[in-house]
Amino acid sequence: MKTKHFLLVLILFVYAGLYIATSTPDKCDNDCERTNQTFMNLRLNRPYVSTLYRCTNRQGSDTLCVFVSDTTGIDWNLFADTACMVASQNGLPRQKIFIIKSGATPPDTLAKKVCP
Amino acid sequence: MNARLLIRLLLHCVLPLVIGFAIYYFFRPEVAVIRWTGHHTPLIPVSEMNDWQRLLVFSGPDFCWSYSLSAALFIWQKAQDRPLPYFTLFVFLIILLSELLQGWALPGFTLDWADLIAALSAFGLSWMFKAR
Repeated sequence: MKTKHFLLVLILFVYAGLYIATSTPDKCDNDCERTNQTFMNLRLNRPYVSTLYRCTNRQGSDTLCVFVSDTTGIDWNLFADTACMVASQNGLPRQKIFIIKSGATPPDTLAKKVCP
Repeated sequence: MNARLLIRLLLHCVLPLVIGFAIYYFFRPEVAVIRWTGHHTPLIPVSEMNDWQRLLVFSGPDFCWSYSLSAALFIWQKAQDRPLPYFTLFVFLIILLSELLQGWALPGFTLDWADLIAALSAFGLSWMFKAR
C-alpha cells in the first residue's frame, strides 16, 4: 500500500478510536433512570453530593458510587444509610453503596455500606 | 513538514479535539475516555443545565470531532498530486454515517438530531475552509 493511502487509513483509525472512546456505558434504561432519580433525591438539600452512578459498567451491577465533596462534620456512615434508603425508595434495593471523596487521586472511600 | 501545514493541523485538527475533550472532561465525565482518566465530577450536573448548555455539552463534542476529521481528510487530500474524484462526498458520507450509526448499530451511543445537525454543520464549515 502506498504511503499516502496508509496515512489516510491511519487518520480514519485514529478518529474511529476517538469516536469509540466517547461512548457512554449504557443508554439510559430503567436502571439508569432509577439511578438518576436516586441522585436527584439524594442531592436535595445536600450540596456536597457531586454525582452518583454505577461503579462499574457491568450490566446488572448492584454498586452505587456516590461522589461527595469532603465536608467536615458529616457522618458519612449515616449518610450511606440515607443513600441506601433513598436508593431503595427509587427501586434500587440491596445495593452496595460507596461514598467517595470527589477529586481525590487515588479515590478516597469515606464509607461503604451493603444495604439491607 | 512546513510551518503553514503545522499551523493548519494544530488549528483545524488538534484544537477542535482539545475543545471537545475539555467539554467531556468538565461536563460529561461518564464517557469512557474521561472515566479512564479517573475524573468523576462534572462542573455542573446535566440535570441543572439549561437547554443551551445541554446543547453545547451534548452536541459540541460531535461538532468538534466532525470538524477535526473533515479538516484532517481535506488536508490529506490537498497533499495529493492530483484531485480525487468524489472525495468530498466520501468525507460527507463518513460524517453522516458516523452519526446515523449511533442510532442503529452502536451500543453506548445515542442518535440525536441536534448532533447530526452539528456534525453536518462542522463538515460544511470545514469544506468552506478547504476551498480557501
